[in-house]
Amino acid sequence: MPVIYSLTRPVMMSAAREFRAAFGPVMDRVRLPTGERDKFMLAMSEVVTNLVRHPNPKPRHIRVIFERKRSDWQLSVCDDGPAFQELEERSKSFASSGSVLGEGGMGIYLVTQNFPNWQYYPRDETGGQWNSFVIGVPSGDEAAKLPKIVLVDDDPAMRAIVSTFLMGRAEVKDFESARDAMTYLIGSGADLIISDIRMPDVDGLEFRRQLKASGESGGIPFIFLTGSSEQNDLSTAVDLSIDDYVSKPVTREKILSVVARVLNRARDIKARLGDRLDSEITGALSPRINRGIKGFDVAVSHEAASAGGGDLLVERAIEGGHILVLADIMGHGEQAKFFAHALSGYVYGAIRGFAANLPPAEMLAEINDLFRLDSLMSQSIATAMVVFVRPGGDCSIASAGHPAPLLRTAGKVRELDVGGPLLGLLEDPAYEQIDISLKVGEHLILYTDGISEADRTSECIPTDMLIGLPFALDTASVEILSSGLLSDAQSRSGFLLGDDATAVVLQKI
Amino acid sequence: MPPQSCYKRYDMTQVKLFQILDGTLLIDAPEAFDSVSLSEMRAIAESIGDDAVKTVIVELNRTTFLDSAGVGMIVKLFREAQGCAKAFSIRGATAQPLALLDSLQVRRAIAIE
Repeated sequence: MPVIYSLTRPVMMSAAREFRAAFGPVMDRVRLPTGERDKFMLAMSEVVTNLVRHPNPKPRHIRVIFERKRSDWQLSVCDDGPAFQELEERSKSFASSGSVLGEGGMGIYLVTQNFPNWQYYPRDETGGQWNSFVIGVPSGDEAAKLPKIVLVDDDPAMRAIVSTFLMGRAEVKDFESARDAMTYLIGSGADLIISDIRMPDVDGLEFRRQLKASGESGGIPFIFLTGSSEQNDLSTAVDLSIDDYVSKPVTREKILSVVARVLNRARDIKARLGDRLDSEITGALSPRINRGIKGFDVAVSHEAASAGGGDLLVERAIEGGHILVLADIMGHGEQAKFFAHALSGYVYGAIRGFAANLPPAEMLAEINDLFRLDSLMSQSIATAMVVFVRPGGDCSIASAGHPAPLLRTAGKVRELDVGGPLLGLLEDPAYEQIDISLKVGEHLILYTDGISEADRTSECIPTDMLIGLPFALDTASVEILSSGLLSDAQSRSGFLLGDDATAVVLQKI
Repeated sequence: MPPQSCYKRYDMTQVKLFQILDGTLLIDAPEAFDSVSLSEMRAIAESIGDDAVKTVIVELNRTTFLDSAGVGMIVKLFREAQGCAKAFSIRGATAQPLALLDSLQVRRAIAIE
């Protein structure tokens, strides 16, 4: 997923506030954890304030870019002024002052403390237009997270014992009452619930009944803690479809073994359901061009990631040409597949309904509305690219945060400069649109970030993907080019793609 | 000027900046306590030396964003208060402002209620 949001503002005192007002909702939208969000907002504010106050001469513009790069969230604060040579000195001088109570000079120190891996790229070294101050945090690997267990017992000693036994194996949220646990579960969910049976107010059996009735939390695996005098209660509990129970006194071996068994069983069931859903939906979504595109040769190569993903390609011949929508739903697994399925249905409808009358930029704005207004789709984030292809070779392209398409002309490959905010981020985005004209033999290449970001350890320059293919671009067929891009991505990923990868190659004939 | 016991000062948007009531100078920090808000806050430092002021409290309960410039201003006010032997504390900080004050270990020098 490339740039999520980018904004350029002239240098003025209120710039930091303007950037905060713009990027705060964006970071909320992608569900950045509060702590990380606050650190990003503070760092952005401090760097922008420094750029407004200190350089001489001052930069004219500041650009902030928020993006997701492989497994990191990354924020770049860029400016077109002189290089900020004293950046490192400023970060050290405050620290060396030995006082935590300075009246000034602590801004950059704070930033570098919060982001020890910060990078600064002066434009005179990179040869670009912007100096760039870059900070990042890991986006969080779902697989590496500990399972979250909600523990309910009115006995604080029992809560302490069980929590200690599970330490390092699970993230335990413990509650004195079922009522408090219920409130927590409604907002936050859990992977497993462990509950005492005998409790004042709402007992464990009633707690289980309420969970079953609540729908959303009713499917969370459930284990009872029981005393020897609670055998009758246990027979009632079995009727409430619990997953297991642990008799008191609880030992470390016993609780760990039951928790592992129940969690594994739950994962296994989920995986089986996911596999079935994945194969059915993946098959339905598999990007393809059904009847060709008038005036062009076209080929699509696609591989669904092993862990699922959310690429989709919707295309249709309409009056005056052919429209293609290539999109990538953020995230992996069944949820991304499900959202991709929902989005493809909407896009099909949109193409049939109004694509003939709407240029790509306006069509993206319509799809953006869906993401903001639909209660289901507003749960997701996506990139998308809309391309309208005319038989004579003219193409109009608009992008919502999608990787830039490549244009191959005689002896030259270049990225097309077209961008815009991700779908669903802004209320009324003005998507830009570019118009190009392909001559006979020239290629337009669309792809998703599964292609360009397949390599998990190093950056891939998109034009190099194409130039590096082991055959002559001028004479290779579109099928060879698209499959070559996919094979290259598979190779760079170590033959285990972490995300759906799709390459679409069009050649004017 | 009204009597010092109930003196109040407002900014241009009619947000109350501070008031002196029964010997306490209560400074109502802005929602965004950053470099832009400093000019409004600087005038407050002059009131700390007022004989009617015995205690200074910086109220952060409506502050949702605090940056190093805001912290710097609090420190400046604290030093003014120290210089005049007035008690000084921070009140009502939550979320990001509290996290920032804690990360800078401001508690080591200034009471945070």
